[in-house]
Amino acid sequence: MAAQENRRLEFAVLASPAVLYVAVFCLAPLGLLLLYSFYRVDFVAIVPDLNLDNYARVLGSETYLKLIGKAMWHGLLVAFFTMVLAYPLSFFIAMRVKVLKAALLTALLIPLYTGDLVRIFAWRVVLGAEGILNAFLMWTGVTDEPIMALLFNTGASLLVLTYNYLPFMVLAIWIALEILDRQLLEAAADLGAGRYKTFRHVVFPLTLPGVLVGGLMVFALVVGDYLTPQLIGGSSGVTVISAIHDLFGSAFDWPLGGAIAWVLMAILVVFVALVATMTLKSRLGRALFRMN
Amino acid sequence: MERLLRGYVWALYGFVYLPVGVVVLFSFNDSDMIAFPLSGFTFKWYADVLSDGRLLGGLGTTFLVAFPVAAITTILGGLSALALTRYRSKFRALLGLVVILPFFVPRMILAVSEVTFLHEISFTKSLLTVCIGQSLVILPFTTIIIASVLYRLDPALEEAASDLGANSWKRFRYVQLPLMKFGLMAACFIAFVLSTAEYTVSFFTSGREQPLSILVASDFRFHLSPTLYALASLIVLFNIVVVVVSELLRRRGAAHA
Amino acid sequence: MTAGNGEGAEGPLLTARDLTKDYGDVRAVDSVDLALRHDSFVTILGPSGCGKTSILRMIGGFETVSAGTVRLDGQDITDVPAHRRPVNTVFQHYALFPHLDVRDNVAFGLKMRGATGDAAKRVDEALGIVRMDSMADRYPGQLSGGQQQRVALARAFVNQPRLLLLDEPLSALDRKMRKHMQIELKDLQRRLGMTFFYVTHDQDEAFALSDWMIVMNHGVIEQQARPEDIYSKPANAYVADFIGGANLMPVEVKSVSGGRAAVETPFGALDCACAGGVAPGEPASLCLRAEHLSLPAAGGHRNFQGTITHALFQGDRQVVEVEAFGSTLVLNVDNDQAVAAGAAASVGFDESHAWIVPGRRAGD
Repeated sequence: MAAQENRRLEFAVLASPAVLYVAVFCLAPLGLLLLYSFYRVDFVAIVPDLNLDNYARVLGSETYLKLIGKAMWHGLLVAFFTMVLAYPLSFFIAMRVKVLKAALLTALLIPLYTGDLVRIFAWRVVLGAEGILNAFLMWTGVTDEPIMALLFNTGASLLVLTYNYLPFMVLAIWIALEILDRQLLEAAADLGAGRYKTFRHVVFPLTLPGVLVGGLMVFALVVGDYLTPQLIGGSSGVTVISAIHDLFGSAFDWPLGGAIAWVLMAILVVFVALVATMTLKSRLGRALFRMN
Repeated sequence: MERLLRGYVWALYGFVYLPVGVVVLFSFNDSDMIAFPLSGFTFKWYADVLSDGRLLGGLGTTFLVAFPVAAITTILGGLSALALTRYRSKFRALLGLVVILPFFVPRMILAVSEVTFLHEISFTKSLLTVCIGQSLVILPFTTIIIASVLYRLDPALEEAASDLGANSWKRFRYVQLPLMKFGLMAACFIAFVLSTAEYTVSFFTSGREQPLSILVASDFRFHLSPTLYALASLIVLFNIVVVVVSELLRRRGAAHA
Repeated sequence: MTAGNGEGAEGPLLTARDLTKDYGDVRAVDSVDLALRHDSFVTILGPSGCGKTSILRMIGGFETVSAGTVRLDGQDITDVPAHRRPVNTVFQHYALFPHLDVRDNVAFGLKMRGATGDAAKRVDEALGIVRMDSMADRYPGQLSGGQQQRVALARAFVNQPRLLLLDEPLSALDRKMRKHMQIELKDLQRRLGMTFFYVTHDQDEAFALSDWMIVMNHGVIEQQARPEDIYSKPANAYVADFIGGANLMPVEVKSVSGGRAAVETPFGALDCACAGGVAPGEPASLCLRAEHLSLPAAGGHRNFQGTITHALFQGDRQVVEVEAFGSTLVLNVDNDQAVAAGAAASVGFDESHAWIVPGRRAGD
C-alpha cells in the first residue's frame, strides 16, 4: 500500500520538527531536572551524588506539604470561581449572540495577551493603598483612611488569579455550548421543559465535560502561577512555586528545587488522572463518551 | 431574566477592563498620585516613556527576540497543525499531547528546567536562549490557532490537487500554504504579542541583554508611578492593535473555507 | 371551499387561519388555512423549501407566527410557548438526549410534567409498543437509526398528546427500514388514536400513510384532499406534476360547465371532467395518467400519433417515452411487446379518465 506508506511518511515529516523541539527543549530539561533532584548541594556547587535526601525532605516537611496543599486548594477555589463567573458569559456568547461572537471572545482575550506583569500592575493600581479603589472610597467619604486589606493577602491573590484565568474557562465552556445540538433544546421544550428545566436537565449535564476540561486547565495554571501570589499576595504569597523560584535564585539549592518541582508535577498528574478517570467512569461519562 | 444576563455580561466585561481602564485613565492625569478628583489632562507621562533610553533599549531587545520567536513558533506550529488536522494517524493524539505539554507544565518549572539544562551543557545565557525558551511556551498557542483555521478548510481541495498530479511538496506549496496564509499570519501576530509579554522563562534564560518585560518587572513591582501607567497603556494599546489585526486575519483565513 | 379534512362528529382538532411565516424578506408560508381532524393521519407533502416544515414548527411552537392563528381544541395556542402546548414532536434526527438512557429519554416528558405515579408503567408500555423494551438501559449512542427512531416515537406519544408532529422522521433511514417503519407508523397511529401530522417530500410515502394529504408549494397549499382524490383529481398542473406519473399536455379551454370542460387539444376537440380552477381563456393542461394510456391504442380509446423516443426495461414492464405534439408522454408497456426507438406509434387514452387542470408545467 504505497499510498498509505506515503501518508504515514508525510505525517512523520510534519510532526517531527515540533516533537523534536519539545523533546529536546522540554522533555530533556525536565528529565535533567529529575536527575538533579537526586543530587545534593555543597555550598555553591552541585554534587552529582545520587541520593533520596531531597525527596525525604520534601515529603517529610510539613511546610512543603502544606504549600502544595495550599496550591491545590487555591487551584480548586479559583477553578470554582471562574466556572461560576464564566458560565453565564459563555452561555450568552454561545446562545444569544450571532454576529459579535468572535469580537466578544477576542475582547475577552486581550487582557490575557497583555501579559502577567501589566495585569498585576494594573490590579495593584486598583487595590493598593494609594490605588483607585481607596481613592474613590475616600473621595466619596465612605472611609477616611485607605483600607489596607484590599491588597497583599490571600483574597486579593485569589481575585487576581480568577481574573487572569477566567478567559480559559470561558473558552472551554463556550466550546461545549457551541457544539450542543440545538434540536435537543427544542426536544426538551417539546416535552414540557421550560427554560430553567431545560438548562438543568439538558444543557448543564451536556456541557459538564467542557466545565471539567476548563476546570482542570485553570487548576493546573493556578497551581503553577508565580507572579500573582508573589506580587499581589504579600506575605501570604509564599507558594510552592515561589519556593522553587527561590531555590533556583538566592537560596541556592537546585536539587531540592527539582525535587519539589517533580513532587508537585507528580501530584498534579495523579490528581488530573483521577478526576479524568472518575469522570469517564461516571454514568454521565459513560453515556457521553460511548457515543463517540 | 434576559435583561439580567445582559447586565451581567456588561458588568463582567467592565470587571475585565477595569484595571486596564484605570491605568489608562491615570496615564493622562496630571498628578503624581492617584486621587479624585482628576487633575487635568496631560501627555507628559507618555513623553517621559518615549524619551527614556533604558526603556527604548529594552524595547529594542524585546523586538529582537519577538521576531525570531514568532517565526519559529509559526513554522513549527504550522507543521504540527497540518499533521494534526490532515492525517488520520494513531499517533495523532500523542502529537497533540506533546505539543500541548509546554502549556500545562507550570511555567516556573519549565524555566528552572531550562536553567538546569543550560548549566549541564555549559551554555551561556543570551538572547538565543531566551528565544528558545519563549518558543517552547508559545508553541501550543500557534498550533491551536493554525489548526483552528485548517480545520475549516475543505480537505477535498487537497485531494483535488493530488488527483491533478501534485506530489506532496507541490500540494503543500501551491494549495495548502496559500490557504493557510492567513492562519499563519494570525498565529505570527499572537506569537509576537505573547513574546513581548513573556516574563518567567525569559527571566531565567536571559543573560546580559534583557527584554523590556524583565527591565520593567522590578519597576512594576516596587513603584506606582504615572510614567509606568503610560508605559502599561502603550503596551495595552500595542497588544489591542496586534490582536485585532490577528483576529481579522484569522477570520479571513477561515472564510476561505 | 372548506379547508378541513371532511366532516367529523366533533369539530376539527386543530385549525390554522391565515397562517403566515416570514423570514426577513422571504415569505415561507403565505396565509395558509388548514384543519386537522381527530384520529387521522395527515401528511403534508412538498419539495424542500415549500414551507411544510415551517408550518410544523409553528404548530409545535418552535417558530413564532408572523401572522394568523393556530387553535387546538378550540383554544388559541398561537402565542403559547412550546413547552406548554399539548403537542409532541418526533424530530428528523431524533434529538434523543445523549446523556440519558432509553428509559429516561422516554420518561422525560412525564418527568417534566411531574407525573410520577404510573410514569414507570406508562414508559414500559410505550417501550413495549415500539418493541424497545429490551434495550431500555442502552444509550442513544449505542442504537441504530431505526432503533433511535422508535425511541423518539415512544418519547413523544407516551405523553398522550392530542396531536403528534413528525418532521420527516424516516428520511435518515435506508429504503428497506423506511418501508418497514411506514407500516409500523400507520399501525401505531390507528392503535393510539392520536392525530399524526406528518411532513415529507416523498410522495410514495405520503400516499401510503395518509388519510388526508396536503400538497404545498412555495408557501401555499395547492391542494388538500384524500390521497385518492389527490391522485386521480389533482387540483392543478403543479400537483399533477409533483406527485408524478402524470402526463401533461397543454390545451385551450373553450368552455366549462358542471365540472366538465370543452377543450381544444393538439389532436382535436375533447370534452371531459375538469378541476375547479379551470376557466375559458386561462392556461390549462390535459392530465393523462400512464395507466390510462395504451400503446398501440386500444380499441375504444381516443388516439393520436406520436414518435417513440426511449424504451427502458424496468423488470416487470417497459417504460416507454413517446413524443407527441411537442410533449413527452410516459407510459407502460408489456415486456413481450416489441418497441423500437424512433418508430411512429399510435397512442390511445381512456377519455373517461381524462382530467383537465388549470395551469401549465414550466416550459410547456
